[in-house]
Amino acid sequence: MSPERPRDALGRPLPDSAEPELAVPGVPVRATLTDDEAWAEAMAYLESGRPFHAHEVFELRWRLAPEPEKPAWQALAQWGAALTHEARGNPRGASAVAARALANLDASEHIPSCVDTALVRESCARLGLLGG
Amino acid sequence: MPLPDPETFIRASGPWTHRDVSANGSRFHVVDAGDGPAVLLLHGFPMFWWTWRRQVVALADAGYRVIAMDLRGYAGSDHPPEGYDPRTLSADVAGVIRCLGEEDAVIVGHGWGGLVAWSTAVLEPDTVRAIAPVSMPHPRQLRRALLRRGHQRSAMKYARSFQLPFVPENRLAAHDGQRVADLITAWSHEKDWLDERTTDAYRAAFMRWPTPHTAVEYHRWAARSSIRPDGMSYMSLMEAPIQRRVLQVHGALDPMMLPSSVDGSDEYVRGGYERVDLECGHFPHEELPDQFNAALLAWLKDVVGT
Repeated sequence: MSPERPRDALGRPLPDSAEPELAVPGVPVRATLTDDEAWAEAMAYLESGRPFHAHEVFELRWRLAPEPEKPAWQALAQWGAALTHEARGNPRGASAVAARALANLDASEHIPSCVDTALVRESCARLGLLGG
Repeated sequence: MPLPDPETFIRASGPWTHRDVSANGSRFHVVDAGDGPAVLLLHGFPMFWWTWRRQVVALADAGYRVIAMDLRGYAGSDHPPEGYDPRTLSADVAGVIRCLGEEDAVIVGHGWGGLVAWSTAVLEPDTVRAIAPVSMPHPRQLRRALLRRGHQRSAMKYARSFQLPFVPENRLAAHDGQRVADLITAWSHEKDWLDERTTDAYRAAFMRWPTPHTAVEYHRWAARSSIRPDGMSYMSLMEAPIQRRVLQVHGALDPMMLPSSVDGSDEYVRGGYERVDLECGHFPHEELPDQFNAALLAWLKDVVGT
């Protein structure tokens, strides 16, 4: 699957037969992205109902982060993935990934101050209940 | 102190009649008073018909038939899982007007109710005689303000987490709906009207599940609509010029819906646009009821000629 494959607003690959205007561009890859920029951009995506894009931003920041800060950004990327699963109608997937996000957040020694950890924890804890 | 029974306020007794009407596939609770040209009152978030209690009396006394409605998902009306988009909401409103035996009505809407008023004027024009949106710019103007101006985005930061599943519902419902009282207080400039009985009324009505969820659904539709086909087609329909008279009422000190975000709403109106800014916050009809009623009644008299 090539990265250029057209995707919908929740990151699902569109069938070849889909109308081109249904495709939603992904998050542009960059060589630099600060903590504040990453958090603000991901939240703006979440505010417009695009958790997949938020996940991509967190993932990009995770790749660029220095070693001690990686667990926190990984946890946030997992949170974005859990929200994406939920939006796609996959509660079990959402629950499993949210539990891993919460565990990684707990294991993080360095969480950037711009991150609203109370919000992330509350969201992960609630998504974690979806597994049944 | 436990909250009062919400029915005390939803079915409050007064010089009016409570009705439950079926329209557009759902059941709606309305308060109905007076005789004369019909005026429909639509509340905003996080309120219900009771926000218009003073206007119901004043307008009925002035010779109008006043109908104050609980919107879909609020208080005494049905809370279906879907339909929190302006097209369905406009069809609800048009249906309620017809079910009550009226051909058309003047629609006065506050906040989200104002957004429904603007939408109904475009999408269901035959049932709309004129509109008075309160604390709500034209929907295209609001979108423009949100896209271009960080100030309006920060002023609406209360809704920032509203796209997340479950979290906003939990936060609004925490501590018996304390956040409902906090938001209403924060958005008011005049605080005199905010006694405990009043905020308890809004908390109690809002706390009746699933109102926290359905109220958030309005916000979810609005935020997601920008990237979905139904939202894009709504926004292009809303370009149509409104051939009705419009009275725009706004609080000059509204900290949530900024007065400057309203500027430009007149571009969409061809039937005659007037704007009244009162020295208050987000709730002109509650903060300054006498001034609000005087402005509304003067305009109504001109519109319907009574």
